Amino acid sequence: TAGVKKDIEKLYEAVPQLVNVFKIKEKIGEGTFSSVYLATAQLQTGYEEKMALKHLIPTSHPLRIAAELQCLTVAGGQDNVMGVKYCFRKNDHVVIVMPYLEHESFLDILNSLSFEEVREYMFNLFKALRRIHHFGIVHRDVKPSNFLYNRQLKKYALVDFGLAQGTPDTKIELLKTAHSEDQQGSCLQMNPTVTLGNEVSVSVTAPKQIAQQSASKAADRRSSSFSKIQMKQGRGGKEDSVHHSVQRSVFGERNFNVYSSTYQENSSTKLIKQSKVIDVSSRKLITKKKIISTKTVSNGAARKAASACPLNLPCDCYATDRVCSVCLSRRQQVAPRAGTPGFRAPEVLTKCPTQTTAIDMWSAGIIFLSLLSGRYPFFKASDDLTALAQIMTVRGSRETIQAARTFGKSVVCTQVVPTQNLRTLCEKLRGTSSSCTRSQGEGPSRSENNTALLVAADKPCAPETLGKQIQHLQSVQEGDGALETKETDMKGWDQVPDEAYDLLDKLLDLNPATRITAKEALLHPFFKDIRL
Amino acid sequence: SAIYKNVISGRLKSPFIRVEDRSRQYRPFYLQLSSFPFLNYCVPKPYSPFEVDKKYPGQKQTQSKERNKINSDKDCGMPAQFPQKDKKKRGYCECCGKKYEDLQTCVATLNISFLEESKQKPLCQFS
Repeated sequence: TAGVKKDIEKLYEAVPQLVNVFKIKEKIGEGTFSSVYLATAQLQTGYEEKMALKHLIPTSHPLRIAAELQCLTVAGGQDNVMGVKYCFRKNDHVVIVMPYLEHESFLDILNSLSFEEVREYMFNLFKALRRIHHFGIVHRDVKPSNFLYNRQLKKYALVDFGLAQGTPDTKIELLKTAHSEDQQGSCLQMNPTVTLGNEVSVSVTAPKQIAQQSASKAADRRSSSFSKIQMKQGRGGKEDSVHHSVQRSVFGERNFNVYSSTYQENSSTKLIKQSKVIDVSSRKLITKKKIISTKTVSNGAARKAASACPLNLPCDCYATDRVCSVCLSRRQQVAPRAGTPGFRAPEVLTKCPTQTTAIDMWSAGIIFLSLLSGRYPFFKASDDLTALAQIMTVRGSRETIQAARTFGKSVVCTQVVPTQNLRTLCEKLRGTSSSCTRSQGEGPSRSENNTALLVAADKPCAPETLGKQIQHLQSVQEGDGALETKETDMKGWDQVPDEAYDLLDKLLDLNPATRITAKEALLHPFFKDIRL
Repeated sequence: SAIYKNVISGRLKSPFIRVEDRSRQYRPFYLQLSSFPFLNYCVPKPYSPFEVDKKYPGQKQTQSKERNKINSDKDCGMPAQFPQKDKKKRGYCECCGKKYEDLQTCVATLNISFLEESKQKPLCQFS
């Protein structure tokens, strides 16, 4: 807390006006883009009120700050959406003052909530989402830590519009400059990944912000809607232009610089200069004036080709188990993916450029899944495709692939995993059954590749052997071992209605176009005669 | 070997996931896993059924860290544990349009006139 004391001092220093108004007590939160403090203010009425002071990272662009404030002022203050009381600024330091809502830690209460409390929690979350979606705000970071819950007071607040984006018809003026720009700028995404000997170098108009991923807690990231960031792994040097290697006819031409995507720790993988689009704090603000500095190229034809987006050479890898120098030399598609791993919808994970308010509904579904299963975080993945694989194990691989087709993505997955019955899944995970079993799915679809070749020596066993185990699941109703030590009260968990799992199914709809909306969710039978 | 003569292509090792836009205009991205994730019911509550922490007895290590991370967007959501003090905050400044190694130095060099130029109404108190 010595560090916190220092932070508080620094905050007073940075924004001296605060001294006269607030007693800053403690730091109650820290993210990549802000720190939140608890403070008290002496009101004119003589009453001392608790408030939350959000100190934004000084590198935030004024437009972004203003957009966040506009979300709070326009949409906030009712229907469980956090509002704003004041805002203070000195130079690049901005402090947003909000009412303080004392709240629980989700993890702490997760397994003590009654079923009725879960119903109320979800109802109130949908109220908040209905409101922000009505204003055309996509929150992008819906998760328990951004939905404050006071159990005693039954008060709720959706917070943090730091990552918010506008829908095309958003009512938040300042989000209009900052919604997903799918095609825009993607021409600038030139990512040579394979260098093929002596290639023709084409200079491309691509002034790139090379971003270094913040080493600090990056659980929540800023949306790439404000920026297009490139990160060259390994030699992360600065570059004003990206050289794109065009290999005329790769097929049928002998090249000794063979690239294999097959992973061998020290094989040809160093040929691959991985570049990726990330969405950390680096964000180039999209304003109406988009400045593109074109690097002059001596070769006029090359420049012409480059400025009009590179031609995409066809290849035969599409929807197969292959990649080649041709398809890997195409530019990466850029899509927003700001948010928190584990809460990202499949269309986010697969880089769908058009993302809607439906991504928030997916996140709400993940929260609901945690509440029903007693597991938090439910998904735990370090990268987007692992997250997608985990989603497949719950929702089914075929189903995931089919849904992805509807939003323009070809997904190939070697593993065939069945969709889980949500009730069975949640009850198993919530129950105190000691059975340790693998979900009974089919094995890999291609048996010759049944075992991973790179089984590390320290791995105790391949998961395939687990699958042979027999399930011994005792249902919760049988009570064996499921008795609480303190009480036998099941808090409604022994009779979860089908409506709960029906709603969960509709929230975790793999197809964003048919996924339930917040407005519809509030009318779902699950909430009939809810006590308000 | 999965490499065809004269063709610079690679075959992905199973299990893998490969994603490509149906327009075929963009680079595919993929992930090769040493093993496909599965629902592990023996992980105790409240942990994720995908938790692969060795601290749970009787639990099998399922997802080796030996994954091929090529061409997959990594999340650094779980950064290495740095001591909280003297932690330099690296990142990107939206105002300068530069990345910085240390937040303090960036903020120090921030051109304040930028704020004036930025045509934003001054942020002020809301009543």
